[in-house]
Amino acid sequence: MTAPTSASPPEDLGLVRFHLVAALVWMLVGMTAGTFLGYRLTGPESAELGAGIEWLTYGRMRMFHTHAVIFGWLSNGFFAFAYYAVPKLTGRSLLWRPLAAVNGWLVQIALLLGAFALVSGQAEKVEYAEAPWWADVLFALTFVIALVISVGTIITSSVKSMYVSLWYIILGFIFTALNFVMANTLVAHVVPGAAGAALEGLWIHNAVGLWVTPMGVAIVYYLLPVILKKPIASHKLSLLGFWTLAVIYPLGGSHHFFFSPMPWWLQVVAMPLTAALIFVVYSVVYNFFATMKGQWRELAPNISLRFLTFGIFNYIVTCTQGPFHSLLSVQKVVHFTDWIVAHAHLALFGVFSWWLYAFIYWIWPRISGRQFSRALSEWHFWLTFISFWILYYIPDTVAGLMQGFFWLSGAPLVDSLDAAQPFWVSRAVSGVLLVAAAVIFVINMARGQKGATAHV
Amino acid sequence: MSNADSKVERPLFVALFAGVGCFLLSFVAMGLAPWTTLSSGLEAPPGMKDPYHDENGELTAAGRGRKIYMSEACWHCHSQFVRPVANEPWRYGPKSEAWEAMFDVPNTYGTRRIGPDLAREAGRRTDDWHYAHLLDPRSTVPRSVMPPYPWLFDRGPDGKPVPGEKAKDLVAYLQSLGSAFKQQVEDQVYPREIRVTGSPVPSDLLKERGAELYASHCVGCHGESHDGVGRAADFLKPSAANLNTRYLPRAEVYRVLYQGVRGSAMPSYHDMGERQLWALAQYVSDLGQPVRAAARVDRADVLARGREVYTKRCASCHGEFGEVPQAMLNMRPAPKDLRTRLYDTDYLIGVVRMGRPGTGMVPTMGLSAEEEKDLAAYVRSMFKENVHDR
Repeated sequence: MTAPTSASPPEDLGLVRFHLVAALVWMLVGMTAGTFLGYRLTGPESAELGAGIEWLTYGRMRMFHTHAVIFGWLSNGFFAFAYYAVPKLTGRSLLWRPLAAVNGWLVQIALLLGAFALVSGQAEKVEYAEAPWWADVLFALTFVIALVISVGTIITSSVKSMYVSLWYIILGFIFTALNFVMANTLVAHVVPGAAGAALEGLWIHNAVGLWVTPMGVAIVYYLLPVILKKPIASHKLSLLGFWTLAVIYPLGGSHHFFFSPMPWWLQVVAMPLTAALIFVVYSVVYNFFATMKGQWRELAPNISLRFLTFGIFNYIVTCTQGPFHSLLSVQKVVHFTDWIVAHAHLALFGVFSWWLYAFIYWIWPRISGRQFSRALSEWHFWLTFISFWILYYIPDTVAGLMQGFFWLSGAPLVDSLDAAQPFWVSRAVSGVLLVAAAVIFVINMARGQKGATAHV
Repeated sequence: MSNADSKVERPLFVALFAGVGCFLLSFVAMGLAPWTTLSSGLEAPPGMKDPYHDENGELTAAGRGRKIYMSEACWHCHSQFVRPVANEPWRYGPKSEAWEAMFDVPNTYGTRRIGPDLAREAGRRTDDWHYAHLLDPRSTVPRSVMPPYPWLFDRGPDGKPVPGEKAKDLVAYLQSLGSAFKQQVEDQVYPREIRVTGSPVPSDLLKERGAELYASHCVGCHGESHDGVGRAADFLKPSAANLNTRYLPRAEVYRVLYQGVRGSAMPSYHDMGERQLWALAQYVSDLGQPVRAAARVDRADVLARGREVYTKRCASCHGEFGEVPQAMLNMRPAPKDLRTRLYDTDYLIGVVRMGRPGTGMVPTMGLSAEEEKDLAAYVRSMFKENVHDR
């Protein structure tokens, strides 16, 4: 077995393009909603912006934001990647291509239904899956169709030994289909209280860990060898990273409810299991960096590789934070605070969105025949990098510490808002800049010169 | 690469063992196992029943309110479990127990706090406070960043918003949270004992700080001009005190701030800390200086006549000598101890005539204008500047 090559294309670029365009629309809407939310928290006066407009109220927009970026942006992007990578890596075209095309629209309809339900006040309480059952059913259906098409293509292919990316695609799709259905049935309608929270912990933990993570890692495993034109450094390490992710990662879900009335043994068990994630992550990261060895200079000319690599840096930071959070002394302070919000954005934006950017920078010229403008690409990268780290991640982490320690001090609760607000102002500014960067990115995609080959 | 035909890399193996197998493993270990241990071995107080459904399985007000709580995503900013750490029992009340949520499907624990935890709302605030806060959050908490919820309200005959069905349901739900610990929470939120180590010498600096604190905590109800007509005024019964019509010595203001007023929207601010409380106490106390300056000693016959009216009409609640009888202290809100504050005459006559809606103080009928004046004079004479110094 070899690393992926760009031989004759059995892949359906139209399908990839469709999901990418949809992803970008959801990304712009979702990021704008996030910025709006960020602004709303910056002070008592800003909380009044658009106040009284039912559909734009904070709680509903908050659900819309996560719905749009997790399902609209990332998931559409991952569908696009799967539909591209699976034919490439199995050497055959997708099963039921016409169904995949129809399903593409069905996905968007399901997402729109969900979004409508959230903003019109029909949400149910399952974090990150707040859409009610009638929107869930359609989304679950479209997800399973995408699963059958991509995983089915792999399983029925003659490939006996798969490239790493395919393992992750299989894992992500199957685990998540089961997890999504579990959350929207058992958590939403059956299991009460603390037991329900345990299952909800399983869902929210693995929506990130066993959907976004494996699909993101699959992108890196695909792009690194292709861009660097050499195989992944260690096959054994990729096996280790994969199986530890599949076995250990899902078991830490209850760490989202430390110190809750959940059974104490469950919380105690979650601590070492969360700490063990260090191995999951570092094995993968080591493998990536070992592959990069000797070719770091290519970060400069190659925007795709740069987003990929800086995403890996962020991956190290966010995944080192995770085990750190599982220390109960740390939990005590940071739980419920913006520290966690910053951490979540580092993962979902700083890591997985950047890896998806990397994929788009790599694939788009091949789809559209357009060449990216160098200047706009640099603007996108640096504006994203600087405003995320300097204006979002660090200040919001500090805001979380402020909240945590103010709560601990016993001071009136509103004092914790005062303490966090300077940092929240910074976060709101970063939102504006990140949306601007995203707009630059989209303009760059739409307006690039038609040319034979792309330079990125 | 080696291992080209290794079994563990075959598609079906990965799908079954990694995809399905690892999901089932985590589902059983982290989901089913706690579910089974939690459904046995839970000890709920006897007689605890589903607060969200009546005998016919219809949703109760609290049940309908819970749906609003979920669909408005209140839980994205308000968690619903008190952790046994990080001073939370001190701030909110007893730590959360598993059985408290046994009827919550889905659970509403939440993972985030911007506003306070709500697991211990029962016994904490009045319905009025909640209505004012839901319609205009900054009316009750001037620095709040909570969004307003006008669509939970209807328009009253005068065009002003009044709580609609939805607002009532939501407040019923909020008031049901932690109801098993209601008394404990009330005693914690409105402490019976006051802790004070001393009082600072009055100063301009202190008063300045007091003004700041007034603007960030009090202005919503008591108003910019301290007349008790703040943004929340429409909802509050009893209305917020008009601070221009009474003089309270610093120690009495401190006491009210520390203990709050059970049964009114006046919360306790004891978590503000002693120095801040004294600053605020000085600021508020100084507002009443004009009333104090106008105090005079009335003629003995006026006071004697006033006393006669008082004994007949007021003493059963306010106490013969101003010391409120023990039984009356359980009223919500309790009658005022008239030794602790000096009201201005017009205010007293107003309250005697109109009563104080939202309290047990009803209009005192059948008094002549002369008797009202005598009564007011007598009540004013009951005030003792240093009653707390005992």
